[in-house]
Amino acid sequence: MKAWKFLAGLLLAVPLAVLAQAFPSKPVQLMVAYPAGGSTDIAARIVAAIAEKDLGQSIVVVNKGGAGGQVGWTEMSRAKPDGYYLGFINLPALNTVILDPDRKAAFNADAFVPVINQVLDPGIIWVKGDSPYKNLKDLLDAAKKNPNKISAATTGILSDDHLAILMMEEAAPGALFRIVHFEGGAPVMTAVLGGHIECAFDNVGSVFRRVKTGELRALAVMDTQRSPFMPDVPTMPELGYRTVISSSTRGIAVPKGTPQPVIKRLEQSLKKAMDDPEHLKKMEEAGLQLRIMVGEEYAKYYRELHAKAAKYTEWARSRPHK
Amino acid sequence: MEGLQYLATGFASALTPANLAFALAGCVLGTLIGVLPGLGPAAGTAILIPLTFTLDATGGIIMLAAIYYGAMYGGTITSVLINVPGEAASVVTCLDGYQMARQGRAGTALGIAAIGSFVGGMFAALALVVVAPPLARFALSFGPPEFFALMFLGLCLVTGLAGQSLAAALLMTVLGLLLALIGIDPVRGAPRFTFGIPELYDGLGFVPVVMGLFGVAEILLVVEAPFRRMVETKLKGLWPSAEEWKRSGGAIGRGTAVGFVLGLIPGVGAVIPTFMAYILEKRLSRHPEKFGTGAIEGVAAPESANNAYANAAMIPLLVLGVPSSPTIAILMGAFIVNGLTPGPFLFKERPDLVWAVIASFFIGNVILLVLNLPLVGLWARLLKVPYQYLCAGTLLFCIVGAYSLKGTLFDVGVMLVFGIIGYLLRKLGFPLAPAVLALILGPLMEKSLRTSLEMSGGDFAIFATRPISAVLLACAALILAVSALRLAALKSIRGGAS
Amino acid sequence: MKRGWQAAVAVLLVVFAFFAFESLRLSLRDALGPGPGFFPFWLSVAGGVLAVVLLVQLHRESESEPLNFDRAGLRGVAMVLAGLIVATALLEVLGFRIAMLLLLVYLLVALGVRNWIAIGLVAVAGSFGVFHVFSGLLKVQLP
Repeated sequence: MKAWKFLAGLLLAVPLAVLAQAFPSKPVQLMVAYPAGGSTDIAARIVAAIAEKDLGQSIVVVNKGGAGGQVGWTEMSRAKPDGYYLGFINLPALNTVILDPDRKAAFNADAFVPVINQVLDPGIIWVKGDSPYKNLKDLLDAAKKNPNKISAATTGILSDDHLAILMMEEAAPGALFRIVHFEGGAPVMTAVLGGHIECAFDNVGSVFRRVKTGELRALAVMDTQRSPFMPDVPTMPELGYRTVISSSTRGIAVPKGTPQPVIKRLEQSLKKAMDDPEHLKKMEEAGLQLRIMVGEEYAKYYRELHAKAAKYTEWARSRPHK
Repeated sequence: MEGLQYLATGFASALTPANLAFALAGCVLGTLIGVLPGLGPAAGTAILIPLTFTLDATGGIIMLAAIYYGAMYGGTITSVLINVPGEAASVVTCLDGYQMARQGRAGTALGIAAIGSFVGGMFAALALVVVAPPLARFALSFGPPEFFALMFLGLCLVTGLAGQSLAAALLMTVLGLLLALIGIDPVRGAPRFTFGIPELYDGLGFVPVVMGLFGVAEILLVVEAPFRRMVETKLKGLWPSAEEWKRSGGAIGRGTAVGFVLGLIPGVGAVIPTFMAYILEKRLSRHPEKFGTGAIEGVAAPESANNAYANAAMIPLLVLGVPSSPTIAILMGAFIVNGLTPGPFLFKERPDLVWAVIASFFIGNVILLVLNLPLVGLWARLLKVPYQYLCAGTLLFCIVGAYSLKGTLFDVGVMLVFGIIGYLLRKLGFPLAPAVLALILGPLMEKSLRTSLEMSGGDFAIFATRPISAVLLACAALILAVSALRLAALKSIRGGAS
Repeated sequence: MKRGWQAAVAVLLVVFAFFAFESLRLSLRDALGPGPGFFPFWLSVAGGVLAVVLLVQLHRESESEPLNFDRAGLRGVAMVLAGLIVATALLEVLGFRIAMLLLLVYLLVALGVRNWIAIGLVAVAGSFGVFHVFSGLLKVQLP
């Protein structure tokens, strides 16, 4: 029996090893589920340009934008799992697409195997620089005193920012915001700077420079550690709201069924590229916080986040709109 | 006039051989991107961002900005020559520009477009130098309620696009608005009319739809009746006649004004100003019936508006750091990857860079004019190619364009479907322009209405209590009343359409 | 022409009816006023009313010049459309270069060109040439 097992193992292992050695023998596609020019796209192009040197084959960034990522992820879930098709997964955007029954997504969370995470952009609450709300307590007190009166902008329905508002309301009982959804960060900026909206739930990367210049005031960062880009701004746990942890992360995944040695090979090249000084420099200039996670660490993060997103997605759908 | 002093130093920096070369390269690349349908300014700029990583910040941004306004002009060329808008903002130019080309006046149309663009661009750039800060504050006063009022006003003007039949124009408007609603609903996130197809969640792509309605439909009409040549007569002179100059002068001025004001308001986008300039021109004209048959004002006004818009949209970006359109957002991305955040502080931190970029707008507008006027004759001569080749080439163009938008075959399919619809509607003489304008206005209007109501907690008074929106809505009511009177005065609802 | 208009307006009426019916399945109102179904429903109703008015008016009107559909011309349109549809379907199967090469040859032949050298040149430039401009110069991936 032992000999059999050994032989079977050998038979399986040899082709896999050969496969891994021969991989990659042709250019690799890296799908971005957003149109060219967004921050996911730019970061993807930077990583691709560096990683292809180590991989020995070119990495072609392919934009399949549409429906908040759903078009690209649908295609990715159907791609041949041979390691030549990688894609960026943006969390929790991917999770809410899967979790929102209205979306009728053609894939579930198991359709993707996370390979390596690149960016973790923490959530942040900010107000205009001359706002009367000097800190988080001021804002929450106002939202408790006048429930449903203080307007709060999100960058989209069921975006990480939308979920973050719900987390905040849950952690600070009695505080209720008047949630106003915009499409993306630019209209949020315009509306708050113009004084039409009182506060915004957003991400560090989109606002950190303006916080530095004083145009905006950051009230709290929704992460367990302070952001290197704004070390003076307290985190939510420091302020006593341990559960308000929200971020938008971007990492690379492959379709389910991709052989393990191939994944390892990709992980190796991608990790090397992400540790590259050029990559680090470009990301810092863009205000994007790196959090490189590979293997089981990233897989665990993905699973836990999915469960968390499920709770708040359900809630977002049932919360009365007033 | 402190600005003018800074501007002088800016010119000194922008006129160095290297920066001049970047501006020139940007204009050429931009024109190419504009000519290729599908690849609009937004996608084109995005794709070329990595190219600028290797340049220094000033040179890179000068080049990207040049690509942006080069693309805005390049779209005109295909609109005039083959009725395919190279980018969305050139749709209106198809209406009269292509008719001019069929009469052998492609050169004149392209010439006046180049000159109008130059005037519009220069004016906006000058305004950026002289009065930018108060203008930028004006931009911020437009919240969702004001924006809704503006879009509603735009919709009321749609009857200005009617041909002989007002009813047909209204019917097409409703159709356009309905088609615009396809996709994910902006407040609840519920998909509407999508048949479960994820590609439809973002709605019908504007560019594939107009490429189908105009480009593909035109080819089908030509194929059906080859004697209905794409170009009916010999090419005529390239330079506008004295009479045409006279007619264009006012159009260029008004187009510039419309494009400039709308360029300041974030979110309006590049298409609406061109439509508004066209409608205004038609309303003011003593010969509105000539519009759609090759009226030079119908090219001059929207083209001036287009470029005035493109340059004016830089004002909110540079002064406030607020990107007012997707393309501008990508340009902003280019600033950011270079470690710069556009906004009031950039003027203090890196005045050298900001003013060099501003100076480059002037230089870029001159380059575009110098580059394009001599090329006009060359482009126009392209129409001498036998129609079979022109047809096959145009169709290839459309397929590449539709595909390269998002990299999906779905858009190619949308384009073909709308090609067939456009062919049938044009055969019958239904006006397509109202449907196209409605397609743009629809989502903006619904989104801003419902965002406004989110802001007010469902109270409609928000539109009446805010001064700008109240004034705009009052104007809209006035236009509606006048239109209703006109409608009542019409005897036949079909109004003797052909 | 009158027939054509009547047919077109009738088709639009069906489209409006479909939209109206579909939007009733979405809620017309929500807590904040108009719901997801509000605009589509009332727009389709307005469109339907317009279409009915137009149909009545058309009915009263006398026949204007007939719509001329030239049979040979229609065959041309059908051939071009068929070529486009087939080429689109094959675009991702055969790849951009081959599919567009075939399409260009087909279109030119269907349109009556018999100059084979010109056909060949245009087809190669339009397929392989365009592909390389896009992938090389502009970094846009075509299939």
